[in-house]
Amino acid sequence: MSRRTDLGKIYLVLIPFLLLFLAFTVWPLVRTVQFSLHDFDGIGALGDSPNVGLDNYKTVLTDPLFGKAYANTWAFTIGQTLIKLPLSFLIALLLTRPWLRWPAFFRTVFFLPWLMPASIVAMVFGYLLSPSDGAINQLLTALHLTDQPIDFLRSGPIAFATIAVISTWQIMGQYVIFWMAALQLVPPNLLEAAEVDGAGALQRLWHIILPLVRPMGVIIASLGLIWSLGIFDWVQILTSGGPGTDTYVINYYVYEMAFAQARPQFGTSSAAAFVFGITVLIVYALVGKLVGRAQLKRKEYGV
Amino acid sequence: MRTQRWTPRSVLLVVVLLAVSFIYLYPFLWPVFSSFKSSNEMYTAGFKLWPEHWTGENYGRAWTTANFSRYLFNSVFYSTASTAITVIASALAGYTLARYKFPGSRVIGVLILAFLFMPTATSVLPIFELIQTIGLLNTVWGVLLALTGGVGFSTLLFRGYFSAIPQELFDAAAIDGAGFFRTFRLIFPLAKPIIATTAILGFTSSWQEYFVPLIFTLGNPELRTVSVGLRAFTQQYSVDLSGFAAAVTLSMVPIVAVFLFFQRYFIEGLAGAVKD
Repeated sequence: MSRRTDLGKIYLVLIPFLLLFLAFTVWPLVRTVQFSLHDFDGIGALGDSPNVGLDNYKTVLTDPLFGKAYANTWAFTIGQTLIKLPLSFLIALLLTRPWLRWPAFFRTVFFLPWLMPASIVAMVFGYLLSPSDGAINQLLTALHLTDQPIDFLRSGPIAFATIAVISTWQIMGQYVIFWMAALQLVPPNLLEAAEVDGAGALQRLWHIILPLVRPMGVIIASLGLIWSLGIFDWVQILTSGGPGTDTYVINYYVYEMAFAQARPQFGTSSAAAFVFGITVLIVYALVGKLVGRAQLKRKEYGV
Repeated sequence: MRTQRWTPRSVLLVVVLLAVSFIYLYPFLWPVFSSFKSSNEMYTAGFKLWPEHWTGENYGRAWTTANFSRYLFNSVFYSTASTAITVIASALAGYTLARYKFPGSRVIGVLILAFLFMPTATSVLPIFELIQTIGLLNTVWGVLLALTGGVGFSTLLFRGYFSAIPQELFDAAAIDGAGFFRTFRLIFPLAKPIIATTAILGFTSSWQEYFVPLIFTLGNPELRTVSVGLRAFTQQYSVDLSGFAAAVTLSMVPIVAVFLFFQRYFIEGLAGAVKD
């Protein structure tokens, strides 16, 4: 299809994209690796700072706090993804039923929290969850569900569970939108035909809807994972990584290293970011392989 | 549109959804209703939403305290401008990547996918340095560029959408003798739904972003977004709960307006109603 005369035009219209993509996506990775090999404070030129080889990696990999932040980030990501993906799929499924009344109203209900920035939601919940006079504790006490106020951010696991629940609440609308878009790929007449043939709701879900939304589903799941891995605002606002260092996550570690030290540690911070980025890529490659293999198997068995 | 009737199952679903909706929206409605309560009532209200005495005085305070109006203006500007940049850059790129094979097209496709999974943590420091090097640190443009970022995700969306457009349309355009730009102009109106989708996603994501604006406004608080600025508000005036609630409510006005405006096209897009 490509004609020679078009080539110049193609590259011409690609320029804005290429500039942004190279400058803000590709180049930062190259630069992160360079930073991570220097004792760099982010102030002067990188060339003036001493090259320390792999020292920063040694520092990061032997830092128990990095290990903790690393494990916390994955635990949070897996936990949050397991809640938000199925739940948003279910909501999207309900919202796209042709017999649902007032669909526009309910759609808006589920989208609204998504329009509030996570940081602001975190502040609102900071008040709502307050053990002294927060609305949620007052409600729980009034309903006699608890004798004394609950400190939802008391310890690592509870604080994380709290963050997972409220961040899921905030982001749900976005995933509902994605799933609704995926569900548009299911032709209504296929479902009607199946219904005529006597397939029940569950059978239609299992044999028609799920296989058809799966390709989009893989993308939605990947995005869901990557956005959870980037968790920062909730932690910074609600717990500042605490109590103690119980809710440290990677982005918070990177931020603290680079911007909250007496002397900014861009080198160590970059090493941490790179180690994390690489493992994320490896996990994605493995998951991709597994998904691919599973699909091949399915084809072999003709399922 | 088929006519809908009340059936037992639709009544049941609506009742369930209404109950869920109320609980679901409580944290959203809390700042809205709290913003109309007096400071005194705020402390005795408990979990009650409805104000006993309505008052508008919190809004005056919220608007003038702690530079809030400035932050709100900043957020509107950043989000609008970065959405415009994102849509233009990624629509053009998505279109060419979807419909043309040219030297480098495969590499670009692979790179976009590979870098989609790069966490923010990995790129934020080099972007900081880059903005500093080109002399835009502590300027509006620096924050805007950092917020806009690499537009890889929206390019994928556009590429996917343009790939799905039937080849016949392109053939017809070619038979009519349309060149590269005319074909694009002919096809572009079909992309309205995906433009709405990318615009909403782009606007909300830059509106919500916290990590990037936090770091890029450390040196100049004047440039803060609402998401970062409100934090300063609560740290300085931690006792003024109703003022905070008013600020939160005000901060929601622009984004809800944008959403309601685009929603029509957005839902249209979701419904696959591409044909005008």
